[in-house]
Amino acid sequence: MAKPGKRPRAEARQQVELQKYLTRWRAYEKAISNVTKWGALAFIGWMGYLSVAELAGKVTNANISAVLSWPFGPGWIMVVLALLFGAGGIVYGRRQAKLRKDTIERLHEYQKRYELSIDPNRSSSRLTARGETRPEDI
Amino acid sequence: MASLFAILLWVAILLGLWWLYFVEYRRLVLDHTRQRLFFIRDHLFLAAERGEVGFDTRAYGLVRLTLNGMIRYAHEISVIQIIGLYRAEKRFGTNERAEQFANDLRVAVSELPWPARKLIMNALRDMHLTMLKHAIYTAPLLALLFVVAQVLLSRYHFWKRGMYRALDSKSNKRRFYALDAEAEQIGAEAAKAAG
Repeated sequence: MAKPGKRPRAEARQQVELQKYLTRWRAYEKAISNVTKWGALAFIGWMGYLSVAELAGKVTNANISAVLSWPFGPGWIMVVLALLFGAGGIVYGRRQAKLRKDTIERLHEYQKRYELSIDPNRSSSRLTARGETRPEDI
Repeated sequence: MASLFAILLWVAILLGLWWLYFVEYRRLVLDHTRQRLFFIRDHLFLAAERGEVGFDTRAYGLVRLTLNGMIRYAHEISVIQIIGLYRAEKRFGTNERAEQFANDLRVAVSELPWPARKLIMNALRDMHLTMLKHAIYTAPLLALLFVVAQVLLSRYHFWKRGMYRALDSKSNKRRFYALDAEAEQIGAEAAKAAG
């Protein structure tokens, strides 16, 4: 049988170990997230570099001004239209998000005042007025 | 010449996709999760305003603080962190903070009449479901599988009921309480800082 006083100490040690484990896990998660994000970007850059390097080795007499000129054709027009369509969608989405955040910023004060008038102990999530993550929390 | 353009085009498309996923998509998932958590909090507030649960009850305060903490730190929740909680529970057994939270909640809820108790527990379950979905949507492969399953199965009652039943199971609740306990602590610290 364990001596009195031993068990709480062992339990406390286990809790400290548990917190250490969770902190370590959080660090792994951040590392994996960053490696995936910036690794993907580096991979794209590297593949682009390799492709251009491969091409440079084969087309040794390429005229730079000709390379920069636009090879118009029906296929390319479709590609450019598709790109414009995609970029347009992104711009549209960004504008919609901005409008939503502007609305949050405009209305949140009213909601806060109303809730405080009913519940004076109202607690808050402490996000920014636009409903975004606080810079110090990132 | 056309090859160089093709390469540049591919790089531009890949960069666009990178930005779309790592910046825009993640931001959208986070905003969606927070919106859903605000909805749960507002729903609870309106219920309290109607007198279905008291603003000054411990249970209301506990759930509100937990929701506030989740809203604030939703950007840090991911499937890896949830796996971490599962593994920690297997490895170390009891999590003191989670136990404390579960006890506080049990005591707080036991003081309430049945409809208020149901309201509080439903708010907690909806919060757990929201956080689980958030974790799934931040992992692309899981998100894809989940969306396909959702589209195919959402019309069937067993899909929703199955998810709720899984979240209501004692073991899953205990695992989520570890997350809730941290969120509640964050919410309480923020409330204290705000005075």
